[in-house]
Amino acid sequence: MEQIIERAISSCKKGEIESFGVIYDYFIEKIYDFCFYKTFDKSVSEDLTSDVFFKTLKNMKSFPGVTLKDFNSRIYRIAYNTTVDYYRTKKEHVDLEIVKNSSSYNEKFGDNFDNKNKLEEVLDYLDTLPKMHKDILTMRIWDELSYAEISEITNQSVDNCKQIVSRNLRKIQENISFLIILMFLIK
Amino acid sequence: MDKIQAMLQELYKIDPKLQSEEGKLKSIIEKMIEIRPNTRFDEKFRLELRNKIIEEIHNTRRKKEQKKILFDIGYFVSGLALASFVFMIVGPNIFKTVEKPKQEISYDSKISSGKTMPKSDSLSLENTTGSSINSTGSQTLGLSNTGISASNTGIDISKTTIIKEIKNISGEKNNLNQSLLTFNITTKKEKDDAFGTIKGDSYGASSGIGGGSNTASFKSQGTPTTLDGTQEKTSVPNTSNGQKFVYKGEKIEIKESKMEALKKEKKSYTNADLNNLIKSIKLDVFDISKLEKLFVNNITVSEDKDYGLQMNINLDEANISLYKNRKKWPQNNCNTDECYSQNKIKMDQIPTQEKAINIANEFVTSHGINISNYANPYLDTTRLKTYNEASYLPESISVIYPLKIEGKAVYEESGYSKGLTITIDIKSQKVQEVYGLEKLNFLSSMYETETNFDKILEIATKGGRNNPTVYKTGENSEISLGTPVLEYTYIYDYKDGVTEEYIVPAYIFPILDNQNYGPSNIVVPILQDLYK
Repeated sequence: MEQIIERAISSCKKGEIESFGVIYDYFIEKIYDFCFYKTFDKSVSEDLTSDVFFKTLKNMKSFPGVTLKDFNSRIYRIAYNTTVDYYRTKKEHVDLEIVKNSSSYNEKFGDNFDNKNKLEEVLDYLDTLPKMHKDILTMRIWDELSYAEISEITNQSVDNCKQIVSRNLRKIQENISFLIILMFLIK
Repeated sequence: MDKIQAMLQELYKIDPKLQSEEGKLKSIIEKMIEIRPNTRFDEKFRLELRNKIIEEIHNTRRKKEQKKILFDIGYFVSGLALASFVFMIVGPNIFKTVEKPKQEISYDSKISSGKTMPKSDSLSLENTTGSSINSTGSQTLGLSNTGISASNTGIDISKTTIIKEIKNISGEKNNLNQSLLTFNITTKKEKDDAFGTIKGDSYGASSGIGGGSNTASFKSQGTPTTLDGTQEKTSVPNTSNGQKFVYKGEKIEIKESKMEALKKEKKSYTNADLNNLIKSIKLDVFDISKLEKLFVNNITVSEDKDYGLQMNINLDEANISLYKNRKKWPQNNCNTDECYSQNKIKMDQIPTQEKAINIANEFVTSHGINISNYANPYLDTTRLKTYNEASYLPESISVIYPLKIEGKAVYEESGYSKGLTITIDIKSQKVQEVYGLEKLNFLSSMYETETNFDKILEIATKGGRNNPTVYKTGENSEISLGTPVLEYTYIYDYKDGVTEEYIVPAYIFPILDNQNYGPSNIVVPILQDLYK
């Protein structure tokens, strides 16, 4: 698969943009999920994802390198900047009330009041973290990006990204009530 | 090492103290993964955005072509001005000394001589290869060459050429530069029940499955089987060979009394310029131009290379298929059993699913096939299931890209997945056939659906509404059916010499037993019309 994507990247960079479909199919869900984890809103995520792909299509000739790794960092960087721009122009951070009332949230946790309550506490906790820390933590654990990729995307050093994840996991670990919440949450 | 362990190892490198808390950290990461939100990514969005991007790519391509030609025109006009200038200043002096060409002059030298050219609309130009090009039918193909020749001296004909080219670029009419067929799915909404009664009485007629004389709607022939809330099984003895389909799934509640049915729009995608081009072909034995209202409905082209393919573009049905150009593939010249035996395919030659999909994907990418309407491919192993030592393995194997419309998979009523099929020759590991690439323009209309699941189940436990596949024979041969999924199926109506194609909602019941033969699903369409 990697070879096919790299061939498509190389063709697109040469101006054969018809190969972009292969790249799109490979990345669409990943990028959409990435936007969703930043916004928790389906329709906003769809808009942002569209922006990301149109920006990528327009600029990919100037992307350095032709490997999947190079391209990966670049497209996620565009996605990250697009979400940052969105918050800059729209609002400072995700309105948790919107998240809590969103249909995906309700779908996942149904009408179970206890579960919902616990998730809200988790979200509240994540929300107390500086935005960059929250982003780095979710990029590593939810998007499963490598530290090298996170470093490229956020312009932080690899060591710094690792520090942020480790520090925040330690904080969570020290927070007993949070742990209990999580224990209940998965039941 | 699993991914959580990998994450932990990375963290220990930066903070070794964390190692003493491994159990807790592992649990935290696991739980963080478990609370990962459900993003509800939907297939409809994927297809819509893909179509927008394809449109953007086409627009970009078109703009580039326009720019290129405008650049050429600009370059040509500059050349024209320079040539005119040179001609005015230097020309008269040169012509004083150059002998005037005689009557056997070439086309270029005619222009150089400054003689007035006939109007291009009525001009029949002779090109360097000696074939005749009629300006009215082939502006883009022929006149641009002559225009460039004319640019050396700047005669009026060049202006006519430019105007003709610009008209073509702006797409005022069909143009050979534009795609003959684009393969985005389009759906046009119509009022409810817009297609009249859908009878689906010629099951499989156009796909070659079954025949036209099969039963029409599936009227209940007995007391419907009922399921109470707690009952898990329904057993309906059925079919003449003794096989019995047994439902082992859950009871389904159908809430929607109306659902969308799609009708495939039938129209020819022949192209005016293509028709003119064909008309302009001169044959010694026949004057094509005398044929009236000529149109091209089929184009076949072949690759002249080893393992080359032939491509057929059917402009009437709007589909493309590729198959072996047999002249260019190695032939099996065996005449004896021994030879056949030596040459037969062996199990270790069959590519793995991953390898077969890679071959197909590479072909898709390198040949610019638009697979936006298709889901992830899989290897069709149907023909391998029946293999035993005594039999021959197939010479080829197929990768199927299942068709998806509005996020739903589409099945033939026979139970097979409908989609793009890429067939790979096992010996050479090369693509030998591509089938099922078609343009899908639909009209859509809301139709009443059967909401009584028992009625649907009755049909499912008969193996579908027509000639059920024989999976097992003998008394009490049970075939288990699982909980169905709501998808789409093709049904066909034959009316007045035309087969109409509909895509209607259907329950797809998976066959739970391992079977060596036949499709893996029983398909039951749920349009009310079919139950009347």
